[in-house]
Amino acid sequence: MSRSIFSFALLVLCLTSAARLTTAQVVTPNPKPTNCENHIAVLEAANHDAGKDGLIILIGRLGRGDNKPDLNRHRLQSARAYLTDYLSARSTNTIVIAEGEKVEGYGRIEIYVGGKLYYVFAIKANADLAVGSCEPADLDDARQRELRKKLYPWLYPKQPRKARKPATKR
Amino acid sequence: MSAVRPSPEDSSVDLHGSGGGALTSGSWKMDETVADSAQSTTSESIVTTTPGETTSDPQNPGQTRQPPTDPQCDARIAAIFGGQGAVAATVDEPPGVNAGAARYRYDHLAGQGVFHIYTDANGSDKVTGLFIPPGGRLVSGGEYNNHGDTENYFRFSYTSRPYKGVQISLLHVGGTHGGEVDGQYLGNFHREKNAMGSVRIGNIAGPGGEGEGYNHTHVKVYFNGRLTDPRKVFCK
Repeated sequence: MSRSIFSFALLVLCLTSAARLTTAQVVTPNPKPTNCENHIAVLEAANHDAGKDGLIILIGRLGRGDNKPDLNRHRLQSARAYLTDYLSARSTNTIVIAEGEKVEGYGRIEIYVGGKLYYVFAIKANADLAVGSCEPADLDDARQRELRKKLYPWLYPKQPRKARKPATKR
Repeated sequence: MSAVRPSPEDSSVDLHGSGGGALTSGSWKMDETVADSAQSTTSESIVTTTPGETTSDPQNPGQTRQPPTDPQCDARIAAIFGGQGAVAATVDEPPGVNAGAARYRYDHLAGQGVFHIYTDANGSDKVTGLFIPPGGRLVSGGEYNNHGDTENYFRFSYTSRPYKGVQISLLHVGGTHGGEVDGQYLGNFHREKNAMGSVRIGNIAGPGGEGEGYNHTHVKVYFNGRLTDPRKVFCK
């Protein structure tokens, strides 16, 4: 029941978002993994084509070789955070993320803009979605280090605060 | 897998990976110079910005306005860093590159102290030389893991005019060898120079910069340790 309500809501969201698609992306039926530079170029294009208040829908699907826990959620979170936190290009309420059924072959993230399939990222088995500066962490400055944590927060677990030692008398 | 940084104890750099293995035997003292002399192609001083100061501060891209692209400067950067047919971008990517994607990329390019240089106006899969101004010394580099993808970078430092204080990190460098994806060590191009007198270090587009219609190298520019809009360094 709840699944059908969710599907209906998703369909409504797709249909009611304005058809602002201005740049058609080529959607191949069996996409191959690309790289970070392509991921961010496509996400920025989707952001542009959706318009500031338009809706972007991201559907994550695990692939045959994906078996890490939370992988789908992590990939979706990184894609959304790239637009909302890294670029500060749009608000979180203009991006809907959802997990779909598992697929054969590579895991994927489907991007919908204006209610239409816009692009499909294929992702190597058990890999996170590479986004951000596309540079090695060695080259990060302080700002990049903080942004990297927003893209991949599970890689940077918060350290528990150390309990203060009670002052000792000398 | 991760990039190898030369240790301070090492005493020599093998720029091309022969012998003891490129950067694993590198030098913290930067004792391998890519070119013999720092011949001046530009002579002006380099102006950097402080956070929040101007419209093009790479340290604070969130505070920027949209700056216009500068085709003349892009052409100059392409001439300095590229071989025949290379095209560069600091704000807008060329219309023939990565068809269908957004042209305006300031936040990924000049806004982060970066420019892209493509094999040609269409980012074709072809061999186009990648050059750097003479006088650069290899500081660090090699392959690194970008969330499951093996990519590469090489960082050079300048200590003499006209680029004194400048560092450049070139990512996705082709014409390399060794490592997991042949990206660990720079190739040997026998100090080949382009029309601007720059020295060849490889090919445009290597690991992480390959893609249909999007073959490019990503170049990050620092001045005195700060990310700097490449136009302020190479077009003043």
